[in-house]
Amino acid sequence: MMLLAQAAEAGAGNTAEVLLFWVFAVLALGSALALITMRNIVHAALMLVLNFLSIAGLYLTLESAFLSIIQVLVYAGAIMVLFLFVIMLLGVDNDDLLTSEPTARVLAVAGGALLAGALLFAFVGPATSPASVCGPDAPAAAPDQFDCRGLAEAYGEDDPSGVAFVGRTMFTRYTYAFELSALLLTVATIGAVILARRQDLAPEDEDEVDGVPGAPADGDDAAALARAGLPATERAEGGEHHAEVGDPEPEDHEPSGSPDDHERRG
Amino acid sequence: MAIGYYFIVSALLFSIGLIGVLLRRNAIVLFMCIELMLNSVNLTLAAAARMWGGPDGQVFVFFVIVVAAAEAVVGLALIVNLYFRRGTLDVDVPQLLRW
Amino acid sequence: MQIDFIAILPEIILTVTALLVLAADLALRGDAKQFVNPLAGLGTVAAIIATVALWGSERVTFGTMYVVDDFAVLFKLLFLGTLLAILAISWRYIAEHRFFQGEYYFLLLTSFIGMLLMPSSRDLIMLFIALETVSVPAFVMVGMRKRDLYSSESALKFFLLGVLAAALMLFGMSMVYGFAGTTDLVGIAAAISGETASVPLLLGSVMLVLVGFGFKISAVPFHFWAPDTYSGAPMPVAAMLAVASKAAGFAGLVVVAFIAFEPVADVWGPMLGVLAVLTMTVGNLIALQQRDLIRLLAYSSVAQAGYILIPFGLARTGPGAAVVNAAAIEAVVFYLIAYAVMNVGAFAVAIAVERRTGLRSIADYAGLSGRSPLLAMGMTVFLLSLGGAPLTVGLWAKFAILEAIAVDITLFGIVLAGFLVVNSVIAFFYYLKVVRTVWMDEAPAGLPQLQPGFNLSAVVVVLMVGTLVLGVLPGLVTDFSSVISIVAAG
Repeated sequence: MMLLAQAAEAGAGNTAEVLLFWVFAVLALGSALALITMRNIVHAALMLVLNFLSIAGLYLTLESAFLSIIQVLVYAGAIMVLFLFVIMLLGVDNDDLLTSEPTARVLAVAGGALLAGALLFAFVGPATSPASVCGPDAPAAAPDQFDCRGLAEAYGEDDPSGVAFVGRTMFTRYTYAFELSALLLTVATIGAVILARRQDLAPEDEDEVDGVPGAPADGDDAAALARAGLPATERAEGGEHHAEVGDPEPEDHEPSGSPDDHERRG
Repeated sequence: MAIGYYFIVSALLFSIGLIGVLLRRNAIVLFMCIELMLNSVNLTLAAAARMWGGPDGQVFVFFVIVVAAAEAVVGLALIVNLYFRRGTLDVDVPQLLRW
Repeated sequence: MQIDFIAILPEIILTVTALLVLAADLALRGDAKQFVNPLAGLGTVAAIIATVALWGSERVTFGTMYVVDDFAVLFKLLFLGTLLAILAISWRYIAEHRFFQGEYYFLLLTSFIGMLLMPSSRDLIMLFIALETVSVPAFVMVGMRKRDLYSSESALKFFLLGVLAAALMLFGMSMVYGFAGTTDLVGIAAAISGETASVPLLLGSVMLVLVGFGFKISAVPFHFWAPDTYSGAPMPVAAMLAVASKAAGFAGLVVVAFIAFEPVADVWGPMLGVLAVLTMTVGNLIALQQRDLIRLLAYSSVAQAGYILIPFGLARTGPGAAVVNAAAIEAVVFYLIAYAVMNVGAFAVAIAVERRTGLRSIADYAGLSGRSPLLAMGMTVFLLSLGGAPLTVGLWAKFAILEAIAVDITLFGIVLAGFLVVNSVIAFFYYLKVVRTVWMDEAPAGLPQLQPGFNLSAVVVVLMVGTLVLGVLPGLVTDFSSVISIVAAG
């Protein structure tokens, strides 16, 4: 904790910052690699939590205490819990779904490595010299070098964590964006309710509920094929399926009592 | 600590995330890799904000996190819905990946 | 800080309407639920009035972040007009299929709020939030037919690709911010003009930002989602994605390309030009093989996005660039308006045919002229206009692009014009194929007469008249679109 506190205050060439950077950077990269290689989804999700936490640590070394807190609360806390909850709900903890074709694998890795190489080529040099160390003590930067100003000066004496600094901008210039993000979260909530809700029997489902298990899926596939533009034989089947869209009936949001058991077969 | 090292870490994280997206076929893992890419974006923004000594980058990170939360809710609902319909999360089933 | 509430009044009205719709849905029961639709329509009309009142003024609020000028007002009117048409074609469709009605209209309205923001945003953060406000409700709406496996799959595909495109765009934006030190678009232009413009990393970031918008406008090679998503989604949602969401993507592309990245137009101009050629050619060639009308319309809308991208390919920097760029933007705006009129119309007819019978293969349109002369007329006009036939607005839209090319003729411009002409000819093949099926082929026995409801008929008639009137008098729109001057603002 002492180290973290020191890092949050930061400064040029600060030993605490350097030490914490390497710890968290190695943790972040290692957990990211583990995420994309692990076969067990729960393990992968836990690796992602570790990754988020180490990035929260990196925010601290970047003098961004506010972001660090948000990262832990929202990302590592809320979002990852949601992920884990869904994984547990679906019970798909052991899934061996890597791309099957070896050429695709090689291409994926080669493409990613190419991107990483290009980015490294651009950053190493102009951005990693001593001139790019943040704070007033660093040597002056050449025109082609990145000059890091640091945030300590911008925060000022009475706002060492920078929360007021961020808040002032967020609630003046970005007020509108802030209000919109509230709307966006409402949309997400309503969307999740609609999509995850199970008792909304539409007329086109009635045949499926009364039918034998397995049949509904076939009907759907035929409809899908019809839409994909396949020849008339399949199409006729799909057409029938859709033709059953009947007259409107009063919408009823109450559970209708007939269990849609076909959905639970998964 | 030169600011460039943060950019390097985030560039590596982004590349790893992209490789993951191309490599994995499970919808949830795929989505987790995209979250990883979003995090590398956030790291770049926070580092750039420190480099320039300005607030915009940190505000941007805040909004990216909010949007990522909204997307995660919607995306996981879609995934749950599809899983109950089909019983697998493999995105390589021809229907889905018929480009 | 003073907030100019007049400038954001249209969005406020739509937000209030959306929340009212949600509340009304709770209060109403059974059949009465469908009356949230006229409520949403009333809000839209009020928003249109508030937007028209903004014409001619130039308002800047929230620092320099939000600008309402004639360019923005024109786009807002385009979005609100499309919203009105989509509400009209949604009414019976959504009521009959018993989707979650209140929620559907809430999501539709929020998606349009995001679109209204797009042409006014002058900040990367605002553009990003606006883009997500368009996308997130769309992800949900596409998945609304959740009992249909195909729909669920296409919604997930749309979602994953959309989030991936957003992540790529964000990475580009973060690096642009790293270079410029500001997220203000005008500030970015000031920061990247000069010698830093030649840094490869900066150019790469610019490309990544454009990818995000390329996904929204379904440009090749980011078009994979379009056909599956259109055919998996409820049809009014497909119409929204094909027209309004695409127009919003173009609005954002114009803003970010011509304001923020104007100093590097020499780089992204030719690249978007190549993308335009790819998009229209691939879209048209695949459209030729489609047997399902919605998929045909989807690929046709990919091809149309290619046409609209052509003016972007003309963009350049240096002396005389302002004239060329202004002409290019004008052509984009005019084409988008024309495209909205004819494509919403085509989807309206498709909804009318599909609603009762569930038929959507092209072969099912055989003998439509006998089953419903109005719909057959409408389909003919809309498809011919999409192809660019004389006496329709589609021809003038293509002329507008050629006009923009003619402002300053270059070899690349001529190549683009050549591709435009050749592709228009290819496109006529599949448009005329549908028209021939509608008029010449015998209707299969047993199909009922089609009696589209009042709303659908009204939309088809209004848009048909619009297509033809604008086809004779394009000045009605060009008079307005020619006064927009976004480049001067940058």
